[in-house]
Amino acid sequence: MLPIYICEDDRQILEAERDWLEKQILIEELDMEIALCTGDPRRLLDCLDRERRQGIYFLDVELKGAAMDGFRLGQEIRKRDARGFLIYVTAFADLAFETFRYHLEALDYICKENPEKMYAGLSRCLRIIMERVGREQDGQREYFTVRTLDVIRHIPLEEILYFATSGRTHRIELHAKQERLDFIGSMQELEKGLERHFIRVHRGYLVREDQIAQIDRKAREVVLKNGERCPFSRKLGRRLLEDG
Amino acid sequence: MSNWQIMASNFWSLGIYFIFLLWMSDLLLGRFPRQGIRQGILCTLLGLALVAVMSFVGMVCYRMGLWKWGNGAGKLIFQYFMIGCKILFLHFLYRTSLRDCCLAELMTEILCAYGEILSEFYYYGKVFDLSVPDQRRTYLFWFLVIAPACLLFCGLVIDRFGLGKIYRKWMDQEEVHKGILFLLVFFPVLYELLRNVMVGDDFENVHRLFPLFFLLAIHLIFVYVERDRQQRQSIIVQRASLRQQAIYIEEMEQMQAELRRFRHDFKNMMAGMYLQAKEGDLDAVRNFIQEMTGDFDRQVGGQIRLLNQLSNIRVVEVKSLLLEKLARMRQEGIFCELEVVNPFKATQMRSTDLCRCLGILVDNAMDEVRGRQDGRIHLMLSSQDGCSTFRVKNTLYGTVDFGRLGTAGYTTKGRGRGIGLESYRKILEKYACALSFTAIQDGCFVQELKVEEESTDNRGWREQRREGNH
Repeated sequence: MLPIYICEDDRQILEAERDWLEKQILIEELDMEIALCTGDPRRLLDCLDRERRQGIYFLDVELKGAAMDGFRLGQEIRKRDARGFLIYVTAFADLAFETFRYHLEALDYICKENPEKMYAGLSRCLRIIMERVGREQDGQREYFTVRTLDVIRHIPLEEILYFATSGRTHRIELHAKQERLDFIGSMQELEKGLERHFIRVHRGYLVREDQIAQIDRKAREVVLKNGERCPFSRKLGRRLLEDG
Repeated sequence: MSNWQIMASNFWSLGIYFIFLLWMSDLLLGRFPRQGIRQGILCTLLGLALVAVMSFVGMVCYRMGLWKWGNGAGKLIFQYFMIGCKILFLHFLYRTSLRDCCLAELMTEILCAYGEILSEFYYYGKVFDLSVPDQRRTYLFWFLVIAPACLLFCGLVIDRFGLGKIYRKWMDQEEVHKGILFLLVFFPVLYELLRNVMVGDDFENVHRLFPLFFLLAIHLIFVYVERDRQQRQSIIVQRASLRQQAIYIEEMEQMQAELRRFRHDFKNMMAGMYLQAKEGDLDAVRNFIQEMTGDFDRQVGGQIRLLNQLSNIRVVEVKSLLLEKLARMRQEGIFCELEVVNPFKATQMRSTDLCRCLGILVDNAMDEVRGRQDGRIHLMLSSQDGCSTFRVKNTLYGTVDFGRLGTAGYTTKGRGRGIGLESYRKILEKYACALSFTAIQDGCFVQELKVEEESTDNRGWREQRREGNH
């Protein structure tokens, strides 16, 4: 059962949110419960310290009289619940939501200036959460988790085509189907951690095995299913030659 | 002396100079990138082999009578041979450009000259007769202890006084490298000439001051060039500031016009609402209030918001660039949002490079959404936890071939285009602490540049930049 936490300094809005969510849980028979309603972020964090599990958080952005604002609270929650769903409920239509989403992986934000709009937003968020939880339960996807400076990214392993060393020392380029990113790392460590799915075909290339379409022995290259080519070293890619 | 004895003596003195070179290059070029035991053993073996070769060549030159050539010409030839060897070794060790290695080696030669001069005070005016045991002992004491100790002293002075930092500052002034290199290459010749030509009581100590004058001259050139660069920079900043002010005034005038329009609409709406309220139609009144706040947000709020976000950008060049881009987007009717939550005050990247990168990313986004009704661009600048993030997100209408993205000639925009992302990647290659991210997310094309700002001190940054040059 997913716990719902609400942190809102306006008593009226807090109660409106709680009443509406309780009704929704009953009507839709959702596998959720209201775990805490408070205006004090410290209480919420204490509660998370006692019991750590994936939760849903409806947070106000400006918490009057509190020691921290919604953004800081989100950062603290993320330290305790990396997979939780953060939703910001705000009076500011011009909230810098992309920044919130980027740094906190916030799910959405809801404007509370109009009750109808707020309820519609809450409903939308619950629907998205149920979809995501359902998807997570259906198929456990394997992810490659990488830290790029101040953010942590999770890339599905099946999406990754290959890793290549960059011209710059300790920089590795990750090439995925719809993504490309640089990060700091070591090819040797990557090879060790990903040996189940990836194969070192060259000193600077670690390729996903099921993405290899053919080996061009003449050009000493590995041809991937999407047509990309990576250099191939016979010494390192021996396993590939033996298999295939 | 037998050949072996000459070689052993050469090996000792050249070895000491070689260790000094490694120490100095560590200060001047930054920590060398070759890490690990295998690399360490390889570099040590190569270094020892190089010193052995130089000792052997030195012995051969001595036997061939090169040292006796007029005005120290033979010595000079051997010295340039050693300089060449050491430059190649530095190039192998640091994997950096030959020019940088050449500069570092020649600077080390000047510092070595200091060590040599210092150690000469020990036997000032004396000529050793090595067949006399007492004099041989004194000579060996100088050779084995005093000379290395003087080099150590010079090295410590350079290390403690942070002269490496000053040198690295010089190195940042790319435009004077060629001239200084040219000057430095002639240092051994000039120094040797002075030693040989300026003899006699009046000139005895002149050559001792030469390395000092030489360094002073180089320093003055750098100061002059730096001042010139600063003046040029301040002109650029002033121009940018004037351009900014002009755009700001334009923005304010536009906002004033919008306010005037809103005031007119507001009066009409209030008149309508008054009638509704009089009739007791509360729903209509509520709708009016909502419409009115919505209108305000659309007409004026957007611009106020944009100016608020812009005020958080404190780097003049970046602010100017974004102001220009935003103004162009407004002219072309492209919808754009900007988020700068925390003040963006400084970045480790050169501002010209950063502006070029941002310009490329924003131009790409504009090209994609130009002429589209529902096209949106979202710009985000975030500066926190010692890291700056520049993120450009735009609605995507076409497809992107990630395999060819950023390679020469790949474009989705037609002939003659597609050099943007290639240049972008080339610029980033210079910076080891800049990471790029490109993705398609929820139907949008996302381009992101992250710059690590505070992880290291200045030296660390220099090291990273150096790594980035490989």
